[in-house]
Amino acid sequence: MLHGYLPQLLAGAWLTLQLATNALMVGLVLTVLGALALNARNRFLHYGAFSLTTLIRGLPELLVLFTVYFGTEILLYKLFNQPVEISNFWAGVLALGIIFGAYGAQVFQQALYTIPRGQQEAATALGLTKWQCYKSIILPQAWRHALPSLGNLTLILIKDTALVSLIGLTDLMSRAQAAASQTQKPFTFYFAVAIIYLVLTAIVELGLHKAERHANRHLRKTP
Amino acid sequence: MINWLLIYYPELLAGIFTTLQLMLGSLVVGFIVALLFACLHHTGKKFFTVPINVFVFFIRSTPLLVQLFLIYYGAAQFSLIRDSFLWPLLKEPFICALIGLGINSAAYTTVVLKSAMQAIPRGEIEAAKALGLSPIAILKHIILPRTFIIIWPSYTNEMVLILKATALASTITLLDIMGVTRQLIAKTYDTLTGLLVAGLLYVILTLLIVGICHWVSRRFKRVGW
Amino acid sequence: MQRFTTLLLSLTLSVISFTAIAQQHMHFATEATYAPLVYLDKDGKINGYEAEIVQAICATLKNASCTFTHQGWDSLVPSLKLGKVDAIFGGLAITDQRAEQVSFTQPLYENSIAFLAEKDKLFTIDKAGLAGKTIGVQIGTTMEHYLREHYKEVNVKSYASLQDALLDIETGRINSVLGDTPVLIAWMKNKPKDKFSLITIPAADTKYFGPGNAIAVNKNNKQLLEQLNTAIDTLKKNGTLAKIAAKYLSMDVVE
Repeated sequence: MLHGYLPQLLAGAWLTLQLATNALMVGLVLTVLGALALNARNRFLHYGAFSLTTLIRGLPELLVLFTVYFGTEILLYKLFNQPVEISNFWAGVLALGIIFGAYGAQVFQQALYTIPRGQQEAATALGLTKWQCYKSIILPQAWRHALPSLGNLTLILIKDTALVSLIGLTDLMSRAQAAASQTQKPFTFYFAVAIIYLVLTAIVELGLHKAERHANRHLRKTP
Repeated sequence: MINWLLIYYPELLAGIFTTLQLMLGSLVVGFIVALLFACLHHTGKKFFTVPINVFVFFIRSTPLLVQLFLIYYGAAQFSLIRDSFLWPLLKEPFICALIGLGINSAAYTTVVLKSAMQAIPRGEIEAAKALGLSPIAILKHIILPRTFIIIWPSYTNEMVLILKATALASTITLLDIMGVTRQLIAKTYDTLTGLLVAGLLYVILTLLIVGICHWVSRRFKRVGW
Repeated sequence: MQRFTTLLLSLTLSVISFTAIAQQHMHFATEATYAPLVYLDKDGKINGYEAEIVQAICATLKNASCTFTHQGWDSLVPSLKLGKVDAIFGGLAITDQRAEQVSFTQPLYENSIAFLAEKDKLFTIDKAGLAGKTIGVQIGTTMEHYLREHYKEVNVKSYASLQDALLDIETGRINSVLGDTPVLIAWMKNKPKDKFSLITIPAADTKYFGPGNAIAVNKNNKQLLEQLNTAIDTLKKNGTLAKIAAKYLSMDVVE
């Protein structure tokens, strides 16, 4: 089966999965932070966040990946004045997370926007702090509005994980490349990779569908 | 950075040219295919809708990088292809990238066109039928013009996405902006300047495209659509 | 929602690899796609002619622990310059241009470069023979530089990895591949006999490829450079280098 390379491919797929989940978490954190910055009344925060997210969204993912990979070390070197080691893996996680966060922040900001200000005012009237208001009232509702778009971004994230093979990570794609060049059967292995990604995205899409139903459960008509 | 631009502008210009050629070519190929698929899907016949849906699902669920490698390296594995008349075309990385990006664009644009076609008020179509217009005439005079107007904002998005996707063609040895940049970085060991210049070029191109699209939108409004 | 978060958290915790600042061991980086010089074996470990030499060097240096990582070829020199890794190796030829960026140890072995081509499509290595040919090379290598500088009538196709170039010569997309002889020989072993052959570069051109392949360290790391050079001397004297060479290479390239 696959000329005996299946275990290696699966090892690569496991790395891809780990990469995707970590990048997703980084991305979600950046999404919320970014959306809050975009909504901030502080002009510096607002315009800064807007320019940064627009810039990242306008650049090819490959370029962002390379820039984060080579750039973080330079940045950390300048900050700490000594070499800080960041592995390929975390560079990839950071890059993919930043890309997700840039798109997500704008999506989530729009979701926050759809929630009537009256709710925030009512919360203040009831004595809730701003943080409690966000946590219990605004964010859960915004989450529901943003879920379809964020779900789409998650699928894109999963597909973008293939790019990390270009910075030398031994993920699924790079294992397939090695196998393809050793057996001279590129179609076989790249097709196998395509199938694995297909399965992965299908599973995630299923999960997203369930999540959307769960988030909208209060709106479903009961007979 | 100015140094870099001054010394390497011939290579960079060639790269920009390749990028634009690839982008426009893929958009055209993708649009033609998507139009065909959307019209076929619109008929509602399972013979058309099922394969088209499978095609769209496959393209949207797999990374573009894998698709490009499948076309460039994968197709070459089969002696059937190597000995056929297609080989002189498929030998070229540009053609392979064109096919890959074109198919990718087609898949996404098909979905956009499909939903736009469905959004046209049924009343208009029924009125046209009542007036005795043939299905093709209905398509040509009513459905398609309205569809193009509806999809224009999403298509602007798609154009920017394809521009960004051209960067991946550098992985199958095409010398687009990204390909030229990687070569220059390998030559000069100046990673940051190279990436900065590449980023600048892509930002400029994106702004140009978005600007042109906005101008076109305003022309649509002026004509009264 | 909670179960989802727990699942995500547990997946995260199962991830390894955040290394702390400037540890006391030596971090070697290489692009392990270059059998038999350096490659990833079936268990995913870095092995090969140069890998064994470096391991022998580490064994000689008494209290050093060495780790190896695999990364992309074009990231090797930048990583070294940034101090992300301590040393790089793997088909890394000593050239003046590279020596401006990094410091090289003495050569581990003399390099040997050749053109790979189909047996019935051989050509001479001069302006006439190379005219109009498409030669595949790896981006950022001495081979790429050599062709672009000295044979301008050639179509040079640069690949991110030499393995991709080898895939393309198999399918006839390119006429030839220019690379390290041991790597080309190892690749030819798996191909039908008599399909491919090597064309050696003219003796006059060997000077463009430098004195040999070596290990590179950061320019500021004079201590490591001395340690490595001393270790290489030791291995030369006690015959280890020759032994490893005999194991991997069908020709004796050790000075």
